[in-house]
Amino acid sequence: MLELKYVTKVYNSGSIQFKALKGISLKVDRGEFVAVMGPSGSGKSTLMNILGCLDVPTSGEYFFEGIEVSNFTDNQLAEIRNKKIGFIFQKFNLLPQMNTYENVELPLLYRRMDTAERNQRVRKALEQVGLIDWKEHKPTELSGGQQQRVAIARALAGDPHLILADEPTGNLDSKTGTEVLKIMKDLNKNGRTIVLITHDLNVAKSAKRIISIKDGLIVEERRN
Amino acid sequence: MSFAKAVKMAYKEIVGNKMRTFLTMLGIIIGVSAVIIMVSIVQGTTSRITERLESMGTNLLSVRIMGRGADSFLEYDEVLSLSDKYGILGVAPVASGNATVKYGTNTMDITVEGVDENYQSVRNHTVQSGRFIAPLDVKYRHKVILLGSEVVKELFTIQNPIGETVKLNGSNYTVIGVLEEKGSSIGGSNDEKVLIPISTAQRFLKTEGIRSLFIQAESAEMVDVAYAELEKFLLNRFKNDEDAFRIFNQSEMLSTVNEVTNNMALMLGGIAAISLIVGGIGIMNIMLVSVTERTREIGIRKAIGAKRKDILIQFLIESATISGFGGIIGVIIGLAGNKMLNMFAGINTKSTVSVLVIAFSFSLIVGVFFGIYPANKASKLKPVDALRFE
Ligand SMILES: Nc1ncnc2c1ncn2[C@@H]1O[C@H](COP(=O)(O)OP(=O)(O)OP(=O)(O)O)[C@@H](O)[C@H]1O
Ligand SMILES: [Mg+2]
Repeated sequence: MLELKYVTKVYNSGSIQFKALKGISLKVDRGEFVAVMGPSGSGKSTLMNILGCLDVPTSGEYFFEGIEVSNFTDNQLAEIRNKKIGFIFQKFNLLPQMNTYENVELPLLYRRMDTAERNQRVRKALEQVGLIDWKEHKPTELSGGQQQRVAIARALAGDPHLILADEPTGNLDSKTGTEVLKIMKDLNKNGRTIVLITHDLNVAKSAKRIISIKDGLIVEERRN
Repeated sequence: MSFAKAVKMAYKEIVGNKMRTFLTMLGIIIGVSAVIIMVSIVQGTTSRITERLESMGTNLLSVRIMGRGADSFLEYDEVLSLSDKYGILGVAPVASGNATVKYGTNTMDITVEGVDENYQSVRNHTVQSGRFIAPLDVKYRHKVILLGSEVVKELFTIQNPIGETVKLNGSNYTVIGVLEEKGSSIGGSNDEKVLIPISTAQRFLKTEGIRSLFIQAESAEMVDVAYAELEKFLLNRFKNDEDAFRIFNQSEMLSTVNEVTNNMALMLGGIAAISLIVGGIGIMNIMLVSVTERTREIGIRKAIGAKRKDILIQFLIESATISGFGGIIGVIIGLAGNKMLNMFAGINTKSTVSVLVIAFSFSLIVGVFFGIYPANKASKLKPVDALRFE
């Protein structure tokens, strides 16, 4: 499903060049649940941005469902993000002026889906995360755990093949964190591919496969 | 995203920031209402002047005879023969002077015009009550008189003045009619005058012949033809002396007035439009601030699949909505301002639909134009960079 070949990423900030990824090769099959671990600054988020088509590699190749996307235009990448990928961020990243329903609906609006189907999909996604009764609430009126569940619903509404989560439990206490992880496990059982980024070994244990990276390189890989 | 949804979203964004939005709109509101009021004042003035000029008669030429040496006037019959000329519909000779009119103990200084029956149609004078001067009145030098509406108001406190006798510089005249009110024009009040038969007037004013006459052309297109015929006749009559007479062309005057006032409307409207542009710069400024403030929002939208075009349109709709709302409020204030000027300052204002439409569309265009730069800036943000923004 996903394949990285010798991917590097170099950041240019002013005159300083920083090599955040130094040659990563990685294959993720359909239906896998992969956790990426590593210390702060090791390049986990950089990797996720590339996997999520939010950014393109400096060199190397990236095949998304068999198609090489590292030379895609902004619009082509936007389309992949919109239709094939669901994002879950550490900071939830909901739009504060919109209520739960509208936040979940937004990716479908950008897909130009008709009202009836949109409505049905948003409801289904909200039911899946147990927040259908909170659809009128604004993000500020929700707890952290609830906000993260709204974000999961938003990621799910588009029925993506791939779900990318960058430290989804990082801002949650252990109890709500466990709830969120349970939802993700269920999603994986239903056949979705999941890539989860985390610091926390306990969180990583939810995954079937754990990849450790350090200083922009994969240093260890094991299966649970 | 559908257009209606996008507008709804823009609306939400805008009302979420009421004070800022209002202040931003203010420039547009002031600009649009100023354009409307300025242009309306000029148009109102123009239409008032035009109305006045036309109430004096349409397709009109007026002639003043200065004469050449001792030959200083035209004969009455000579004047009447002009009406047979090509393009000329009617001829009205006038002999005028000043006099005092008296009824009972009331007196008033007025203009006396000696006229014949042609005057009524040529000068577009309608009679409010009674009758106009008839050919027989002219023929037999009847001492009959028509009063202007102001004269009636001044002299008579009572009923209908028709049939009453007034004194004009001491001699008795019978009132046969009252003229319709006309208002004042460049030549003074049209209502503070009296009309008597021209033959009577020549004797009364001790003048000979005709020194002033009005000529009505058959149609607007024939004015120039009539003018040429008239000029030819007069040059011939006064041995090619161009200084012996002067012809005023009413339609020429009208077009001069129109030209001047149109220029004025353009100039004043243009000055007011500058404030609209300043308003547009205000919108641009606020939109740029807004783009920076909402960098993270833009990043989120892009991450979940918004394309450049989606972001561009979102911000353009926001700026167009601000300026469009401002434009609507500006139109309302402009119309209200017109009403108030009319009511409290007595200034004639006239707003045509086209001015309202132009002012409003201009405000929309300003909004879109000055929204382009900020919207483009927003749409070009990279999703990763925007998401990292705190
Ligand atoms: N846009 C950027 N410009 C310059 N340097 C960057 C940029 N983004 C990331 N970096 C650098 O690249 C390195 C890897 O960053 P990345 O965000 O991938 O780390 P991470 O593993 O996600 O860390 P954390 O666990 O703290 O989130 C860091 O040293 C960071 O400073
Ligand atoms: Mg990170």
